[in-house]
Amino acid sequence: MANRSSRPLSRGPIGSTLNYFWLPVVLIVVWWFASAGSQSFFLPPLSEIVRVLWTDLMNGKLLRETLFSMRNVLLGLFIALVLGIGFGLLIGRNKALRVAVWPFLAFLRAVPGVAVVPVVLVAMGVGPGPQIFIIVFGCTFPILLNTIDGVRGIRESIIDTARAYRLPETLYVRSVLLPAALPQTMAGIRISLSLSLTLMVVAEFSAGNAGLGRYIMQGQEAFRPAQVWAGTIYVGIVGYLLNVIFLFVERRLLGWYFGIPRRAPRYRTAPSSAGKAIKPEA
Amino acid sequence: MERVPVRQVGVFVLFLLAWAATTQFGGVSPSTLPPVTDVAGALLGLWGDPAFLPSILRTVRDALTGLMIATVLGIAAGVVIGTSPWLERSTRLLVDFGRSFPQIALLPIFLIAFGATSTMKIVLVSIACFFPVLLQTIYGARRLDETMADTVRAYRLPMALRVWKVTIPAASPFIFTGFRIALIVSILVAIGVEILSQVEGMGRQLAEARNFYRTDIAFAYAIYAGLLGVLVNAAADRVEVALLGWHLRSQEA
Repeated sequence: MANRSSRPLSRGPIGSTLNYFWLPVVLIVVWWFASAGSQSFFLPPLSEIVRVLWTDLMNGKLLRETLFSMRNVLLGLFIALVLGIGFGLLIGRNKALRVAVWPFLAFLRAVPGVAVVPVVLVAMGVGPGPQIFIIVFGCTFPILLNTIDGVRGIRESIIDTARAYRLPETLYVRSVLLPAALPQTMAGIRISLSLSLTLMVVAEFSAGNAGLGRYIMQGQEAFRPAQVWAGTIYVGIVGYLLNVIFLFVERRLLGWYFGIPRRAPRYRTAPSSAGKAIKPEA
Repeated sequence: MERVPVRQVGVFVLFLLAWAATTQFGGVSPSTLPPVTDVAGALLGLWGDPAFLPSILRTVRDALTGLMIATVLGIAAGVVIGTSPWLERSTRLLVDFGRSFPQIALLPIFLIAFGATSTMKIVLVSIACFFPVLLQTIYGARRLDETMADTVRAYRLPMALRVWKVTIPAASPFIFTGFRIALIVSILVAIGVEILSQVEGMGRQLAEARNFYRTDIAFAYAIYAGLLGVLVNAAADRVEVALLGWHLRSQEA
């Protein structure tokens, strides 16, 4: 009872659902009516935007572009994940190697992913290949550097214990290193996830041959602002869903870390991980 | 530790050698991967280009302007939302939507609305930077520990005093984490906008070099963008120590 006292009046499932949804609903309704008779070229009525979105969803056009974009994003993220975690574990446990390569990796990470887009597109042309390459380039380093830092942060006593028990190599990596680095690694993956969407959009705007970015650009070129809006909102929804999936997976994998078995906290201390430049050696 | 970081420098040298070997013997066309010597030449030659420094300054200025706007708004909104559980729940969906949205996708809409201008770039940068700051501020403001909250209540601190002297300082380590994320985002988005929309800045120079198949210059700009990132990060380290020295010291203890 005591810890519930700080909660506001909206008790019960209906009250709390209302608490979460009232503001978005109000905003959408306001937008709907405020834009209803809009003659402004770049602010079409919301009803028009929704109509375009619905039509293109139903005729499969939007779905085709989604498949192209999402395949690139997921494949790119997967490769970045394998490279980032693999090399992260390798580099993280070897101090000499870690010290030697850190400045180099830190520099590569600082190169904004969008800056490689024009270069890669010239080199590799259009199609899924360059799109995936750009996402891999941008998304590997946050995962890699965070994993290295996660491995580095493991307490000596844990490593000594594992050594004392002569854990076989694979078991050591899989059940000591990986779980210990996981919280940091996940923070890196989260950064990479949003980065991958940004890179996808920029690369598709630049190449403009396929994908959700192309869908938006088409609207712009054809002077159909409703399509631009529809595509933009749609990309937002896709991004939101990806994030929801990520949080679900993270909660599954890291429930033990947050110390809360079922409901993970929404915010957490990005443990020196998120945007923070991680020092090479303490 | 050694005075000269031999190993660290060695890694860079090895990388450059590998690059040189690839272009020398690998049979890649120079428009794909320019020889390392060409890029080195471009890195130096750019200093003679009158458009070079202004473009960097332009990018930095616009990115930082957007960042500052976002920081002020993000902290203000974050403190308000973070101190009210009811407001926090009411805005949760919107905040989650905003943070997972790739803000650069707004570019076409912004181009129609504002045209290809610096203002448009700054507005887009500030939207992108707003969410990391907002999120971390909400988190920091929510985490005010029980003793502190009780003390504030016991002394009946006025609202303004509470926000300035308690909530913001207590949340400042988190706010700074948000600021750091936003800092990286600001440069990323600024350069992204410049590449896509031809607004003045490094990104535009890079894209133009690409259009003339001067891949060496494009590489040089990408490298300078990386150095800019390193520099900006180092500056953030300094600021963090200056502003949050008390917190960092208390953590080390």
